[in-house]
Amino acid sequence: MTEPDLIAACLRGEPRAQRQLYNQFAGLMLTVCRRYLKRPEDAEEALLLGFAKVFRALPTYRQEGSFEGWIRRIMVNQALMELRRREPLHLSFEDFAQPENLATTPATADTQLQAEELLALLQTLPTGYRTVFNLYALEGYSHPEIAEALGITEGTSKSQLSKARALLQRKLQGAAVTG
Amino acid sequence: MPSNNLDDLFRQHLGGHATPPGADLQRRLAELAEAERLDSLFRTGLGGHASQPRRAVWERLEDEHLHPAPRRRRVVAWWQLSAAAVLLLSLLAGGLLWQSGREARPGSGLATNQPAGTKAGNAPLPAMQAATSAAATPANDFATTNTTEKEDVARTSPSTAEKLNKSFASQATARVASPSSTPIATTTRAGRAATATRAANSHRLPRRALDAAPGQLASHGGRKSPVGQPMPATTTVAPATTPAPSPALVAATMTNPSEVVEVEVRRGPAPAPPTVVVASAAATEPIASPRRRLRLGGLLRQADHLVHGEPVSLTEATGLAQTVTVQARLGGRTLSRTIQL
Repeated sequence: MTEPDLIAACLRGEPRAQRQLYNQFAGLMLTVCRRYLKRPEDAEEALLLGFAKVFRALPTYRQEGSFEGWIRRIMVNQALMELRRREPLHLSFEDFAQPENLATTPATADTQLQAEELLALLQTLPTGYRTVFNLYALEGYSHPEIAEALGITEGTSKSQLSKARALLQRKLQGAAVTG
Repeated sequence: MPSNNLDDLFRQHLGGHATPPGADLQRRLAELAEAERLDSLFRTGLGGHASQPRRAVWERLEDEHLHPAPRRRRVVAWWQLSAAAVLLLSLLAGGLLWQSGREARPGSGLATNQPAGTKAGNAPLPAMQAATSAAATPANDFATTNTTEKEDVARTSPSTAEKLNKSFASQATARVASPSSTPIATTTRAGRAATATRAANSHRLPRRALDAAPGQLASHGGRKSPVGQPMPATTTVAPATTPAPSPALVAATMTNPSEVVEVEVRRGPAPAPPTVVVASAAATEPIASPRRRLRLGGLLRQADHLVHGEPVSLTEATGLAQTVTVQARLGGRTLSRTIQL
């Protein structure tokens, strides 16, 4: 079944098509949710509510651009909503460390890290760092978009991103040393 | 200097010259390259990674968001399944109770002339039931004073009664006392000629005539009493309020070198011993089939209670009779009574 056929069948309310669409994207989207939310049950809750929105908003999808990108954007928004409920952002946007105090050693032995290890590294970051890094580095949001989505200034977004990168590099170096 | 010469001069001196970037610019370029590497590492590492959600996520999505109507049907089906399972378990438990009740009857070894499970006042009993018609009275009407016999004792053997009273007063011992038993019969006393027996509690029970079965049982003290000897003792029994699961509740025995009085109170009907009179056995037969019909009706009634959410009584569903059998033995005489509770 092609993607337009699948979407059309879902619009007709066919359970098999709905199940197929879910099976096709649930795994990828759960990883997206896990990048933002530490607890697995919170990530699954975001996935559940995100898919509910996907099926509800399916009639508004214009089939312009990537369907997966459309779903991913819904999931990211849902994960951010869940994040606001579970881990208030304003607490995490305070400075935990100055950028100049963080190591900037290039990560060299990090290419061998597996996806689960990268997820674990991401989840060790403070919520603000993790969220901005996810949005900028992995989702491709710009700083103005991040500022609007999170209700912060662009400067704060840039600062959080810089700190997140420095902290990740240090953790990667530590992981490479211990590994 | 001609312009051509000036152009050639700069071209010759600067054309192949390379200016190294400053230290600050070099650091910034290195950071950018490192940041890009880091971002690329996470982007490629996590971009195609899929985590398998639990099955419950899809079930919740389907039940709560995609198809909420089938969820209501599923709840109804679940409720019906639960009700059917409870009904089935009730029937099974009732059958087991009924089976165990039937198996327990022949082994108790007590003589009775009252059929088991006879509904109060419902079953007319032929033959020797005339002597035991009072058994159809409810438990709280159970008589504890046998004044007639006491008076007989007073007339016939007052000296024996006094002697027994003296010797039995402090010798009542429980012969069968299961840990789970609730004592029903609290005392067994020898009767006096001039005193009436007191009821154990406020439930005053009417007088009744206990049947006599002379010669049926031997005295427990090893000496047989003369056949037909009048009963010199009376039995005081408290009505059963919380009967214990054990069939035999209390058996009190008073021993005396010359006379033995045994009073036994047990839950459930007392099965007829091998020496039971024929009339008693015959009296139990016609009662069996009506009880089965009542049991079936009780099952249907309990099923109706279950459907309507009312309390369900297994005893009522199975038709098991809550009866207490009181049996007194004195010498060669055996007095027994089965009371429908």
